[in-house]
Order: sequence, then C-alpha cells, then structure tokens
Amino acid sequence: MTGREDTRADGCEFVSEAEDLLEELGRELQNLDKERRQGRVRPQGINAAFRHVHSLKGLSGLFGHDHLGRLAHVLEDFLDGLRMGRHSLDESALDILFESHERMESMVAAGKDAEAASAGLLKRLAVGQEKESATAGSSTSLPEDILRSLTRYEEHRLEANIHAGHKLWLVSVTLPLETFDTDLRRLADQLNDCGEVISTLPSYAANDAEARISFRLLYASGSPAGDIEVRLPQDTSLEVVTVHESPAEGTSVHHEETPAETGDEDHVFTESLDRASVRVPLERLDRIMDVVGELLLFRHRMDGVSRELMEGEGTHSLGQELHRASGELDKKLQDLQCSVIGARMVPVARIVGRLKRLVRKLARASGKNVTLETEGSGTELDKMMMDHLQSPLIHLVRNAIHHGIESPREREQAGKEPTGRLLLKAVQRGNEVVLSLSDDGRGLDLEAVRQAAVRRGLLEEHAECNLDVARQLVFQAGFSSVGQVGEVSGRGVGLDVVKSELQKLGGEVHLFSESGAGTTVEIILPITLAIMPCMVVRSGEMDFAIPVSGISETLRYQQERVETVAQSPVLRLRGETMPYADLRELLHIPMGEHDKPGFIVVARVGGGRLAMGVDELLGQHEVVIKPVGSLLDGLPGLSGATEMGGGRAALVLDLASLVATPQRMFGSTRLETEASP
Amino acid sequence: MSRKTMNISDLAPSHDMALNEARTGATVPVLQVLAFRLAGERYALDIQEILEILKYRSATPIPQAADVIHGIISVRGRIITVVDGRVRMGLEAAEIGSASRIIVLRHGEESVGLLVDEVLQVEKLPVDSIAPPPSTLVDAAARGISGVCDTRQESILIILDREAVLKV
Repeated sequence: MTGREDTRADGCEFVSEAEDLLEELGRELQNLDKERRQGRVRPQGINAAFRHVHSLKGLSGLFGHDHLGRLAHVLEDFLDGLRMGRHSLDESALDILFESHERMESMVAAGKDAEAASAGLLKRLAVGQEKESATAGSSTSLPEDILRSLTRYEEHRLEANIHAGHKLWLVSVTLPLETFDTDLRRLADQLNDCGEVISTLPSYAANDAEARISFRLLYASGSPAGDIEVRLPQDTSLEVVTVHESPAEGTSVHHEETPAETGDEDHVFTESLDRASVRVPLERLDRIMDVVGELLLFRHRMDGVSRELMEGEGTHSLGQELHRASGELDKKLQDLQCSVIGARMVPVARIVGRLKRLVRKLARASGKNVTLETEGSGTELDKMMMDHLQSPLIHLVRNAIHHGIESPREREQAGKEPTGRLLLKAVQRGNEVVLSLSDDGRGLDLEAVRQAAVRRGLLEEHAECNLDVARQLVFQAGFSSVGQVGEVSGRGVGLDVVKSELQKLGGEVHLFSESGAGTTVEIILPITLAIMPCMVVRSGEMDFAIPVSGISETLRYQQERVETVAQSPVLRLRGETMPYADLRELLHIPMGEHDKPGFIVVARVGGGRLAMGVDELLGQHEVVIKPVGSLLDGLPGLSGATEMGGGRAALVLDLASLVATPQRMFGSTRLETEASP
Repeated sequence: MSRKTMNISDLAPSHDMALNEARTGATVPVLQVLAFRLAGERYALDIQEILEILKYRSATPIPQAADVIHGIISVRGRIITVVDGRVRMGLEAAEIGSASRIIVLRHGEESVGLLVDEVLQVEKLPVDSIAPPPSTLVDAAARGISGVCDTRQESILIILDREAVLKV
C-alpha cells in the first residue's frame, strides 16, 4: 500500500518539476524566436535552453521515464550543436525545438505510458550533429589556471568572441557571503546587456575572516571600457583587467590562487533561484482549507453559546468573556484563511507561455502573422482555477486566429497592420478576476451566425440576427457541436463549451464585437472556489447558498413591484425591468404554505439580471464549497454543497446554469442583456 | 476493488472460518454480510463494502434530482449523497423512524449513503448456501440483486451487489 502511494507521490513530484522545466524551456525558446527575428540571438539563451533540457534528461532518468529521457537526450545534443556553433539557429531549427517541446509536454502529461517520440523527429534532431566544430585555435594570454577550468562550451564562446573582434576582460569581484548569489546574478545581468560573461570562476583564496568570497568573471564585449565600467557597482571592490586586446598581443593578468574544479555544471552560483519556496501538492492545501472551514463552524457554535450565556442568570460576564475570545479567534481564523488562499495563488503569467507557443504554431499553420501581448499577467488566481482555465483560453485563442484575424493581405486591404494583435488582459476586481482576450480581426460575422443558427433550428428562417441575438446564440449549447471540424460558423466555434466550462468554475463569459474592428471575450472568475462568501437564503423550507459575487442587491418583497408583462412576471426596479421568478419555481420545489416570498435577490446572470423571490435571508457566510457526489452530477443549478453546522448541508446554487436553458433565454422570460458597447 | 459482476462462487471468503469448519468439517468459504430491513423484507450487503452505519440525520433534499436520491448529509466535513434504499428496490419511499439508519458505502473515491428502515445483524453465509436470484424475482439485475439465501429464519435474505445498487 505504502509502496503504491510512494509511487504516486513520486509521480506528482516528477510532473510538477518536469512541467516547471518545460515552462522555462518554453519561455527560453520564445525569447530565442523573438531574438532570431530581430537578428540578435543571445548565446546565453541557447545555453539556458540546453541546461533546462539537460536537467530534464536527469529528471527522466531518476524517475524512469525512458521515452522522455531519450528525446531529452537527443534534444540536448541538438542544442549542444547550436551553442557550440556547429549549426545555426534558423527557422527550421526553431521549428524542431518547438515541436520537441510540445512532444515533451504531452509525454509528461501522459506519464510513463507516453508513446516514444516519432522516429522522424528524432532523425531531424540528429541531423547536423556530424559537422565538425570549427576550431580556430587562436592563442590568448589568459592564465593557464583559467584556461584549464573552462568548459568545452566556454572555450567555444571564448573563440567566438575573439573571432568577432570583441575585447576580453577579467573582472574580479569580492562579495559578501550572504548575498553573493543575488549580487553576482545582478552583475552578470548588467554585463550581459552589452557583452557576454563567458565564465564565472569562484576563487577559494583565503579571504580573511570577513566572510566574503571572490569571483573572476571572464567577460567579452565590443563596447568601450567606459561603457562597461559604468555597469560595475561602486560599493564592491572591483578591478578591471584587460586581458587581450587582439588575438596576438597580451598583457599580464591579475593573478590569484588555484581555481575551482569546474565541470559542465558549473553554473550553480548563478542559478540558485527560488530557494525560499516549497512545492506543496494541492490536495494538502485543500485539506488545510477544509480544516479552516470546520474551525469557522466551531467558532460559530462558540458564538451561539456565548450569546446564551450572556442572556442567562449570573452567567452574563462569563458569556461576555467567551464572546470576546471568540471574536479574537475569528480574526485569527480569517488571517489563517487568507494565508491558505494566498498559498494557492499563481500568476496568470503561468499560462501565458503556453498560449504564446500556441499562437506561434497556429499563426504559422494558417499563414497569418499574429502576436500575443499581455497586460496584468501578474494577477493571481487559485491554482485549481488556473488549471481549468487553460483549455477554455486555448479554445478562445484558436477561435481568434482561425476566425477573427484576417490574412496579411486582407488586413492590408482593410487598412490594418499586416500583423494581427491578440491582447490578453487580466485585472483583479474585488473577489473576482476579469480576463479578456481581444483580437483586432474582422469581428463577429452576423450573417454566418444567423445561417448557422437557422440550420440548427435555433432561429426562425427569416428571423433577424442583430449583435445581441448573435452574442447569445454563439453560447448556446449545440450551436457549434453539430458542425464538422473545420466548418466555419461565424465565430461561434466551441463557445458553448467554453461557457459551460467556465460556469463550472463559477465564472461568466461575455462577448463584445465590432464589425471589422475585432472581438473581445471577457471572462469573469472568482479568485478562488475553495472559500466563497455566500448569501444563505431559505426557500420552501430549504437553505441555499448563493455566491455573493453573483448578487447585485437584495430587497424586501413588495407585491406592487412585480408586474406581468407578456404573461411573464417582471420586476421593476429604479426604471429597469428584469424577469422575476420565485426560487421555488426555478427549482421545482413545492410552494408550501408561504405563497408570497419575503425577500427578493437580484442576481447577475449571463450579462443580464434576474430577480428571485426567497422566503428568508439568513445572512452572509464564508462557505467552503465541496463537490456533491457523482450521483448528482449534471443537475442544473447546483455547483456544490456546504456544511452549515450540526451535520446539515446546504446546496450552493449556480444561477447561470439554473436559468440558462434555451426557452428561458429566448422564450417569454428572455433575460435582459446589457446594451452592446 | 470493485467487481464488475458478482459471481457467488468467487466471493471473498470470510476471515472467520473456524466456526464453519467445526460445524461442517470442511472448509467452505463464508460471506459476511450486514442484514437490514426495507419495507419488511430482509436485504444484505457484503460487510467489506461498508464504511460505517449512521443514525438517521435529517438530509437536505435535492430539488430536481431523481426520486431515488433521498438527499445529502454532511459527515465530518464530507458531503455524502443518500440513496433511498426502498425506492431503489422499487418500493414506496422511506418513512423515517427511530430505527432508520444510513449505511455508508464506498463508491469509487467517494462515499454514498444507503437509507434503510432498520439494521439487523451481521450474518455469516456459507457461499454454497447462496443461490442465484430466482426467476420469479422481477428486475433482479436492475435492482442490483446478486443472490438469495435461505437462512431458515424469517424471510429469505436478498443479497445486493454494492456497485449495481449504486448505479442509479
């Protein structure tokens, strides 16, 4: 038993580490792609990619993932060829790199059962490995100890720099032991801006009792000495020594004692990133969250007891004390809750890399030029939400490139830049995150949407299709699933799927479009699903929790506010009219003895508003939402359940799925929609 | 862990075979079951499928759910769906009384409750005494009935297959 659990835990660790490495590799490839197009490829980038693949190879070996290991091995050789200058980083090399990356991603996802990489890919990776590296063999007056400790790659970079006519420098720096890694990284970053740090050599010469450590950086740059000196920090002791003016002449070198043994993996000093973070399986955080939720319930009970004590004979002061203590406890529990929620947060940037690679691939495949820009990618969301957000976003990006953005020629004819622009924006708004994906393409094709809708029987033959109607149609279940793959149906491809997936996360999706100017899909999501502030209401003797984020207001029920328009009840509120229904009717529960509700909850549903009558408002609670079992899967209007104390459970309502049935959208109780922007 | 179809002959033998051995002199595997009552009839489930037995607690009904779903309860922070055993067996809906119990069964990764009128006792059934459901028993397979056993007390014991019963 334990053995099996161990394997599972190992598997998790492997996947999360491998995913991290692949994410960084992906980012590096993205940069290389950009740099190649700008004609300025940093050798550091290729080397970083090489290192990530090397680590991945090691990781696969450790966990016995053979197929991944083999691909990583061949890819490592390929990247080695690139960094050693045996072949150049051209478009086709990048294609192979991206393809390998994608293949490795799917292998990691598939686990050990993954299929081996195709022979074709392995063969393409092996091409060009036979070429001999061009060894120029120019001489330098670098001290023997430094030359000896250079890796093969560093030797190559030294040659390449000399060949390019760059000057070489030996920068000596002494740094405090506590902060040397960050200091060194900062210095290297600054130097790399106008040259290349070829090698970083620590020196273990006794540095007195000051707890400092010395390094020598072998640095090459085409910039004049003055430019380099300004990049060097003032407060550390530094000497700049010119080693080599040209391949022939040399000057003496600032000399130090024995160098460190350095192998291929000598980048530990510049690589000690993120040492202060721990990887935790999400399940453990879920468990902590559950406990916090239970503690909050106990706190509630304590409050009740304290109230009774305060009212009792002679126990008033005791009750007061308990009440105070429970108040303190509440504060601490809320802190705890915030910390646990915080621990689950990841930035939107986590999925941007994957989307960028997707954009590149799709754009190339469809012969379009598209860039993806991001705004607010530091905005955070619950890890679970982020994982589930990925496939809807991929869907939207695919839609935008296939159906929104025009070909370069069409764009030029329309007076637009030939390169289409996608913008992914993330903003936090209270307890919600608003993500929007905009393209500057042709916008929603109303006629195509109309025709598709007529074909699917969602619209009458000669019915009008304005923007409002189209916006609702494209989200209708079945709107796209009927069509064949590749069939262009306006812009509605798969939007119903996107919508239902987001609804599962308690989110909403809106579509804005302007003909010829582009389309924006806006996604509103709660930051976390684990704990949510909810309004608890009673209806037909049952308690329901409604997420506060979906409620715009609550008011007392007044008969005269509810009118009947075209045979369906509506509520008039400050000049606005919205459909009205008793929650009991919506849920098909018996009306019971209360024939009139006591209160009205006005909810935001799918861009419109809906008024619901409920018997009682029981107040706002922070609830831990738990899944209802598989036996209840697929019931409309239900997003989970929560414990209400004393072993009672209350249902958490998902209003969007409760009312989003075609009859309600287009029948007599058609939802109000916002005016189009 | 979950059996697709239950073959009476290959049911897991009981841990406690000593008594049986003493009586018959041969090693006949024994199935340990928990017997319970639904509308006067006696039913049983393999004890190994049972996680715990709860006193009835008021369940939250689920609007729009099938009749067989009695509601949900919260047990130590977990939400458990409760299936009405009577409705599942094609009988009229349960009447809650002081003897009503919820038998918590494992169901894949989750737990599901089965509402019964009364829990009787644990019985040890030699597997050769279990017969396949007689053809007179209507819808035996659909109701999740895997066999019957005449224990020579009261009515015949109807043996249920956990997985089939929870396929609602």
